[in-house]
Amino acid sequence: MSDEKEQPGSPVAPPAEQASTEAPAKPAAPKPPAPKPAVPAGPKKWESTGEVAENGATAALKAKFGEAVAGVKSPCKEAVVMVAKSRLIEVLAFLRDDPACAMDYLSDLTGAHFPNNDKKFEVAYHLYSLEHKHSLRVKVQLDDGEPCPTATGVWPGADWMEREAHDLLGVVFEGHPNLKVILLPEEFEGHPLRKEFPLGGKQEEAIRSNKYGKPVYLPEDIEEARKIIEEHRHDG
Amino acid sequence: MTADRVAEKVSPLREVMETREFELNLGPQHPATHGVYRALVKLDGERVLAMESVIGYLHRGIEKWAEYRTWQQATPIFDRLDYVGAVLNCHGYVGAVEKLLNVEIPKRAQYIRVVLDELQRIASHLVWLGTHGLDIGAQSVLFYAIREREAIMDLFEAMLGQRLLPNAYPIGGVRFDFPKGWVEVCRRFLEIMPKRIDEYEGLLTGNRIWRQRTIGVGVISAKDAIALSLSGPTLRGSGVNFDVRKAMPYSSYEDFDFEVPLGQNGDVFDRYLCRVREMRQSLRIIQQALDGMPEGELRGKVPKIIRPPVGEAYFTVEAAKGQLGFYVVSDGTDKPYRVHVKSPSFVNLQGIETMCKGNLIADVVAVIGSLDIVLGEVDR
Amino acid sequence: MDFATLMQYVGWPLVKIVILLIPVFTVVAYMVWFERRLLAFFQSRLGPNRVGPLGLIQPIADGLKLFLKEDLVPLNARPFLFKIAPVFAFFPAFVGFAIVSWALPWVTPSGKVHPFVVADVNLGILFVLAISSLSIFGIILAGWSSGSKYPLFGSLRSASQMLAYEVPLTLSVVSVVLLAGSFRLSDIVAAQQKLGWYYLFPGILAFGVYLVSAVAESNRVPFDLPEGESEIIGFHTEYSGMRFAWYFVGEYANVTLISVLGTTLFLGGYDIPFVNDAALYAAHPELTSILGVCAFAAKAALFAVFFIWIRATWPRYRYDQLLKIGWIVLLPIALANLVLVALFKLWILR
Repeated sequence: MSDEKEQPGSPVAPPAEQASTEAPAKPAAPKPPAPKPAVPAGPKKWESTGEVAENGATAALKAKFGEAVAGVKSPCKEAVVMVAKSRLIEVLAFLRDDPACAMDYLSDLTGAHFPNNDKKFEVAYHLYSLEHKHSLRVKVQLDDGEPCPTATGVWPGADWMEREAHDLLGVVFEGHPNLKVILLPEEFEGHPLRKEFPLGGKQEEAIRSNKYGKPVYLPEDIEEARKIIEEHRHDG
Repeated sequence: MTADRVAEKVSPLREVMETREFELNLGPQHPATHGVYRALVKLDGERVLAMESVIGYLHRGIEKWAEYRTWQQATPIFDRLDYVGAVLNCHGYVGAVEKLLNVEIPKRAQYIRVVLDELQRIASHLVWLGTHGLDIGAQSVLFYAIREREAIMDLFEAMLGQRLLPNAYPIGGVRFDFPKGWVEVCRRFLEIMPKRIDEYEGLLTGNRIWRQRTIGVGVISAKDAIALSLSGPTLRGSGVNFDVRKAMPYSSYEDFDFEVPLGQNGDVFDRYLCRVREMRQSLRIIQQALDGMPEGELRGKVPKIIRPPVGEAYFTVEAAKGQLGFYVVSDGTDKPYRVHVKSPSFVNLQGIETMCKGNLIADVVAVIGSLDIVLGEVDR
Repeated sequence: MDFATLMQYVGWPLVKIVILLIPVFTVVAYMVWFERRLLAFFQSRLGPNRVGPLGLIQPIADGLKLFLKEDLVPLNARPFLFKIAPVFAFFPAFVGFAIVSWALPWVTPSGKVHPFVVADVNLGILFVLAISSLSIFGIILAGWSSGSKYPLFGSLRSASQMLAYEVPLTLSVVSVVLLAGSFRLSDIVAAQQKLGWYYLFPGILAFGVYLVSAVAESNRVPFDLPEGESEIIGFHTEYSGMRFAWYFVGEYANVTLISVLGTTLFLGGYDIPFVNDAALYAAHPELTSILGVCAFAAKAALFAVFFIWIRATWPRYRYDQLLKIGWIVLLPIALANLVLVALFKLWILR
């Protein structure tokens, strides 16, 4: 299974052992070492590949919620479901309380940014049951700026995890008791984990835009020097 | 309260003499906070009423940085998360990528990984023991623990080339086999270590002062602990039997026979006992792994350029501090699309307010020590 | 005022003070060295061994370094009190050495007898207890005048800790005084010379209480929370350079004084063990005096080793547990001990 990797957008599925430099063409390949896959027209959407896996929890969910939860494909046999935002808290509470699921442990809560998808953000809840020893991932898709209901009512441990997702990605969790920034300084602007945020932050932008092209020489007079330092204090 | 102010308000003396809440800043620079961690503690005299944690001083943007490197190139940075227990972090990330790729890792590689992981766990617990003891005032334990840790560091240096942040595993297995003579040195270490752990326990476990400082302090119930998503010895100290090595075995842990120590009351003393006993269990595991080491390859079949299928995977390991999880999202290219680290210290630190409320200020230091946080992991 | 009285009341005491202070300063300074080396050996390492042979010049190097540092007075501090606070920590410890008798009186070749003590005050031990209580001022003033929260916290704790342990300390000393029948230190030693076990045997409870209180009074582990370097730092946070050195030296001087007093009160002072001192003194007075000083030093060293040993071994008590031990555990024991000693004296020693 690891040999066949689907690369949406490329006309041919190249064999997995092929290196990017010249490699002897396998007899099965119709062409000699293919050039880099052609850039597909339009932005590439992110959609998981593989198969949908089931376990006790997904069965119970399907039984109760039917169409509101949809299984998501996973290339490594993990049980993943996608839930609509309107029923999210219901589903999470059901998962925690239902004896067949008994997902009392929130392993992780995280977000991801998919700028090419219809709904730009995904929040994933990784759940685990200490009793039945099965795990489940619950995902919900959100638009940019669309708030997500908080899971702190279901698991208090979601507190800091949601703060971090809010901080780094900009996902707003409504109903959260204390949605402040947690990892970044308070005066930080922007959400670093978004794809459009440059790795070097504002400094990188500034460097690229030549703002810091020349070094700043400080004058002898202390008061003047202080003024210039104050001016530049919040740059980058 | 200068003399003038007192003189001003002689008649409503109560106003001058009233006690107020006192906010103390256990600042980012403090010898006992194990890194740059800031706690704003509201005190009533010596009792803690509320506690707010301020973190992020060590935030380095590891998750974002990983998106700009290829899957294998990104491996070294995850060592820097929990810099005291680096090999385990590496295992977590590499395991997640291997899960996504569905690579079969040869048995020998798995056993070697177990040996190195458990050695790293012991090393991490030794640092914890030394610093925790030092915070509470037992200064000598630190030196003894570091002396043992040197032995482990030597083993790592001989095998992996680096003491602290070795970038131990490539995706698919291990890089090198044991050097000549390594196994003998390791076995000698396994022989002397139990007596040394007895030394530490002799200094601390039965010591009346240690017990008075740690029993009944920083209590968290099992229900609260599960609800707050604590993991590792912090959770097991409250009696909850959740160890990733037993619950979701990876890398052949199901082949080994070891116990998971549990506490009863969820206080600092129980967490201390859990970790010390875990060290002993780790020695057992290493013994079994070395005795039963199979022959075989060192790396599974992994392509030169790693392009996992589009999808995501979540893989957890039992790191020294708790359950370390890696959520990797791949978009089919040779670079990770998103890597999220569920770091145990970050999540465990949430529980600190519950543990410290109602205790005295001197206990806050004991509780922070018992949580075993590493700020590199908390802030990423 | 003729020359003889002047010499008797001013001259000789000055000479004795000089003869006393030079070794005492050296001992206090080298206590630091001794502690660091011994502590290191306990902790499986070496301690200072580079500066001079065996690291013996380390205290001088440290002193010089502290002396040459910048004199910092924090902006929020009250300058006058901030500057004089260390004096209160430093002087009481050294004044206490004045009343200790170090050996049997020195007989000069010309036949004159000089008591081996700077000032043989007849209320000796009471004097020392009173003077050493002054050191609490040093701590309170330091904390309050530093203008910052942490030192204030630390100093308040330290002050109440020292007050709490003064009482059992005094009570254990009182039981010794009861046994000896006098406050004068030379009398106490003389009384012990008749007993085989010194005052360890009748005063074993008092000895225990004295040891614990001594450790608490000098702010040492396991009672060093006010100084707790890894917790609320302590009252001397804002002090640096020479002022910090005063506190440091004051603490070690305190430890030395406590050891010396403990030796005098419980271990027989300058009595040479297993030897008939009176006979030896009649025959060779100079030898007895010198050996007496050596015996004294050895016994005081035992105390010092004990203090360093427990520092290496035990964790630190929390503040409320510390006070509980002082008031609820030690005080009743000291009182009970007093009663027992009184009964002992009444019926057995007669």
